[in-house]
Amino acid sequence: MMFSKRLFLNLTLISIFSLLAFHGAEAAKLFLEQAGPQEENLGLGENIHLELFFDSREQNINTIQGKIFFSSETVSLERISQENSILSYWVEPPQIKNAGEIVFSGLAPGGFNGPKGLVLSIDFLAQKEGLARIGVGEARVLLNDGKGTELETISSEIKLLVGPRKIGQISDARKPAAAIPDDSTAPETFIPAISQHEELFDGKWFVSFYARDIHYGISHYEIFESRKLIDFEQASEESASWIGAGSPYLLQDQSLQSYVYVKAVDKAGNKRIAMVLPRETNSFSHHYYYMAIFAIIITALLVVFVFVYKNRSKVSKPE
Amino acid sequence: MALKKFIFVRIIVFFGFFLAVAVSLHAQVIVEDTVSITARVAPENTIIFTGDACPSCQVFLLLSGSIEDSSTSLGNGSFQLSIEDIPAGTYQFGVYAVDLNSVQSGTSSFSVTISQGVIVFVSDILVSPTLQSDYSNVVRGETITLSGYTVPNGDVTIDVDSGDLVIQMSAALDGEFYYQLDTSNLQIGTHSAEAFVKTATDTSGNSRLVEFEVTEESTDEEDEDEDEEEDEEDTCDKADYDDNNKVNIVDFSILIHWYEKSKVPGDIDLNDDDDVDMTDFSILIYCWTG
Repeated sequence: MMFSKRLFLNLTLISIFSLLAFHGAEAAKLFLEQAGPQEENLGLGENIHLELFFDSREQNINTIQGKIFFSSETVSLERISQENSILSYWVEPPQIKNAGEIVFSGLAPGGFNGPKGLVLSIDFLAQKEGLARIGVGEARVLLNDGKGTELETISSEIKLLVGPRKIGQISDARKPAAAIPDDSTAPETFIPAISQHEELFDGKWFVSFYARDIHYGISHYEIFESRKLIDFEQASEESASWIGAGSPYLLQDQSLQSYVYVKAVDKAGNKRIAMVLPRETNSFSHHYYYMAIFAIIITALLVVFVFVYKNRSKVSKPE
Repeated sequence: MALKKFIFVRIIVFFGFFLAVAVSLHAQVIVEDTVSITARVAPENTIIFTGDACPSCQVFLLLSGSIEDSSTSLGNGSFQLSIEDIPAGTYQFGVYAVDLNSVQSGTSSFSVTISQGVIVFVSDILVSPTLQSDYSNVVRGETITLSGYTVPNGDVTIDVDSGDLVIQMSAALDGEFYYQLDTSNLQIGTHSAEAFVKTATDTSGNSRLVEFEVTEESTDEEDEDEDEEEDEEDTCDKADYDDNNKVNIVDFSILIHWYEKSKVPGDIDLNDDDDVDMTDFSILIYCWTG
């Protein structure tokens, strides 16, 4: 009797664990991996480079949202990189929102279907002895099905033990990441667009823009509107009064007679400037242009008139 | 003995060649559909995509969501698209087609890692069919026509309601296919349809989702007229906020303006839940044209 009870209990437990394992095996996965040598122990002052991957389990997805939690007493965030990410458009670029919490949400046009797509990578610095837990939570992954159906996703966490500073030189793999990333590549070229919509800025004209940076992401955008065409490859950027802006940006010149310059600045300070031509020709120059054409026509008519008049006079003189 | 040695040498040579190509070119592709990938050393990085779509359709190549190349497919549906001078790195590519009725296919996506100094060929892409319905609202008992374009003579499958009803047919030589669906046996409510195509060697991904509403039978002609007038706008038409037949950065900017704000206007909210959240962005990006 005792034996059959134990057997029943064991079978029940095995069934539950099997179900859980099967369930886990089917769900998509957001998981962190250490780049380079796998270590569970870090010395004070050492760096750890982690990569966040996504396994879609043969589903086509287009949206990933989530948070990365970390023990902010033991490790500090050094930098976040979007390089080679499967996500091309960020609704919320990865950033610290609260202590020990990085939020991110991004989109993949065309979708992603694969076992190990890189979402982002992060560097942490060991700053205090103790246990450091780094994990992914509040993940929300949506299918590329036109409805935004949520895909069940499991996420993982890793644990690291931060110990005393190690004796000797820190290995290259564990050297602290530079505060300012070694990046001299400007953001990719981009094309801003001017448009209007009744549900935005009371139907006024606005400019939309989105630049991508292959390394560490865009830091911010600036905008400058000018009636004059400026070649910023020759002219100094400081000569213009740039305004910090986000997309969409309500245009100051609603007559659309200005050149609109949009500057994208990445986290390393590299810049890319894109320009939109005025939609409407400057009214003064427009007016001046037509006046000039009118004056030329009048002058030409006068010349013709004088020429004809003189010829007639010559013909009539012999009589 | 000599034969064994010969086989052994062949295996070693083959393995060595495979390893050398894999290491030196390092071009990795994660794809939704089955495609072939080859690479060869070249002075400038180039990526070339070839495959089949509906004949005389506009085929677009997206790089991280932006249109980088487009061309019209030939009479047999074949197409070629390319990007030159692409820096080394990992990129997300997408290929989709737009048919003669301006209906867009699903987007085939590819994640490709390119090393310095290679030409990468991504071939045998089979673009999914286009699919549309003649009505978005139909009274039960009437027929609704599901039609589209795909590769010539392709074996088309239309899944209604995720496989509850499976319709199979062959596309014509010009790639057109259509099916008149009798709605008598369908439940009252919203239904969806998707199509994919099979050739002798490959199976495509799914077309864009088409939704239609089956309503109660009505004897009142006025009610029917009202129903026709109230035909719902297609979701992707709704996502094209500025009505320029493209879903791109402008529409993304408009949606992001309303992200997590209250009192969202009905024509901005893509899933009609009075909120702009990631679900709306997922729908917008599904409709993305670049």
